[in-house]
Amino acid sequence: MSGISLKKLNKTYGHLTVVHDIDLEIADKEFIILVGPSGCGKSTTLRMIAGLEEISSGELYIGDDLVNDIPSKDRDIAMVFQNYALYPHMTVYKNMAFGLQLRKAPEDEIDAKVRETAKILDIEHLLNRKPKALSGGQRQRVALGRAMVRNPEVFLLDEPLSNLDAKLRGSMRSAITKLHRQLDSTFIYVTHDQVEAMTMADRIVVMKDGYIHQVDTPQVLYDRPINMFVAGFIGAPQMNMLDVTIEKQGEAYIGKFHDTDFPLMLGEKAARLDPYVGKSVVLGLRPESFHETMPHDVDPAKTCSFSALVELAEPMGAEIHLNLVAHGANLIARVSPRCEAEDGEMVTLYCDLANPHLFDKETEKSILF
Amino acid sequence: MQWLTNWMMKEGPGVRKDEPKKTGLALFVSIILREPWELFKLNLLMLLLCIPVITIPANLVAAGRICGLMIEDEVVFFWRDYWRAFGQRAVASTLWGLFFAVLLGICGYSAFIYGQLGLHDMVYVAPAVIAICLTLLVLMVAVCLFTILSKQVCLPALVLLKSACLAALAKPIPILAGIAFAALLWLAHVIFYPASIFLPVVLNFSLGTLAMVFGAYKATDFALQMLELVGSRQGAEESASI
Repeated sequence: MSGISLKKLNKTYGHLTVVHDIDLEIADKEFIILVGPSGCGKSTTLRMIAGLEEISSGELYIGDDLVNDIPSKDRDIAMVFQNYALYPHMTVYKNMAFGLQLRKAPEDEIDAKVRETAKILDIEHLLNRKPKALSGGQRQRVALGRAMVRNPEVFLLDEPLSNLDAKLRGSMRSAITKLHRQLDSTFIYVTHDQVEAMTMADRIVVMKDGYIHQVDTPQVLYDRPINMFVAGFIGAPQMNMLDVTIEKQGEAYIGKFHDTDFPLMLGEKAARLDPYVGKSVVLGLRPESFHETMPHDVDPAKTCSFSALVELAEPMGAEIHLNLVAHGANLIARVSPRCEAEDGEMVTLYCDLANPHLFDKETEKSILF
Repeated sequence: MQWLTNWMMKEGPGVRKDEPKKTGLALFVSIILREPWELFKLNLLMLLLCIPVITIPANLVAAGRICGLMIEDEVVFFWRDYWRAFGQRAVASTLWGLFFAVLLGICGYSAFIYGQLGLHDMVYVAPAVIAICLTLLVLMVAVCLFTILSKQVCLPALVLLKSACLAALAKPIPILAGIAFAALLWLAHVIFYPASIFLPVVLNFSLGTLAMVFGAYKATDFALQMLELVGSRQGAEESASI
């Protein structure tokens, strides 16, 4: 059993609290990712789990054991650092074997484990090389290998891909995901890259300013963010936020944005808008909600046309990102590559409002979820 | 100290999986560039273990083992591998060392005597040349035999000697080159003394051993393969006759 429980975990440095009352349950063999902007406390949380930072208050359980006062080496965890932290004077083999040697594992066992791990990570040809000769990706795999040979219950990874170029990062993302499946261990991974979080995690923990904002599966976070921060942080390009005024026309609600009426067909949840009638709320629209033609698979009652000025069209190959300006609001639309809109041109787009996101302007919390 | 961290953590060019294996001189140079610290440590240990004299043969075999691992591009656990080879081959290498010391002494002395006589009478030039060639051959056989011993191959004494002779005769040029390189290192020490006073402390022993083992490595592999081939052929003939 290697489930991990964080109960009211706090970390303070003098008067400054960087992690506030964190409660989190991590299941055995789960791949969980802590994501958030720099300084949100995700690495500090990870280091507290690793035992590299003292816990100011709260309880940390690994399995059924309270490990607050158990030293890092006895927690049966392995950590992969952002800068890999390989010993520069040791060969790859010795780097990987070092932890086992310290534990006085038999020589044959060390050799077998190192070679087996090297085979899994495809670094057999690097075993007699020193880190100085290795590229970033190779170092990264060695760092992973060093963690793997110990066969720990929990892997902690602190932004392990942030030093790699985009192409390598992509391939390493899938390699780590496969590794998780292969090893069947608990992975706790810290990143500020939401693409990494979305593609790799079983569940994502979104953090900001030392608080957990939302914990859920990637798709739920994308579809039902509970506040404006999560909505803006998850998804690339990020969600468009428009200030609209709620109006009620008969039984129907609309979000009025200057001369555009966004129909809000919310079904059972419509009643939640009653307190906001006549008030301003934030309407969140994903970039893919915009279409250059009327979408066929969407109820026409849940769409509206919308005019905006194309500030910049960014062809991405499979799609085009249109940077738009409408009544002073900046928006991004993700449209098909067939769209012929050019910079400086007024375009009319169709907005799909099947799944609108509405946020309270004061609390920034979702009105619908 | 940031520069030190940056220097140590600086990303390298990477190692290609399909990189062709270096051979010959390129491999020799790459080993020196790759393992300077290990070679230095080996040199110090060899230097210390040459002082009791009787430990020289086992010392050479153990150092040969380390050099062999470097040539094979295998992981070297310096202390462990050295002493393991030293312990395993201490008796055999000492006996062989005494044998070759006597043989080289006889050959060398005869070369010296015939050389001296040759200065006065041309009749003795031919035996002097033969003695020099024999000395070199014995030296080559000794290098090959010690290299085979360092490979941790267990062979009966006669078979071992036979394979060393076969290796020395099969590929004499690289073996001679290795011996010449080692000799040059010592010559440089003598010629440039006292400027070269630290040369034996830093690299003469280990680099010399590496050069000799490197020169004899393929030849001994070839000899051992031939031996296996003959052995398996004999085995097949015997089983066919049965």
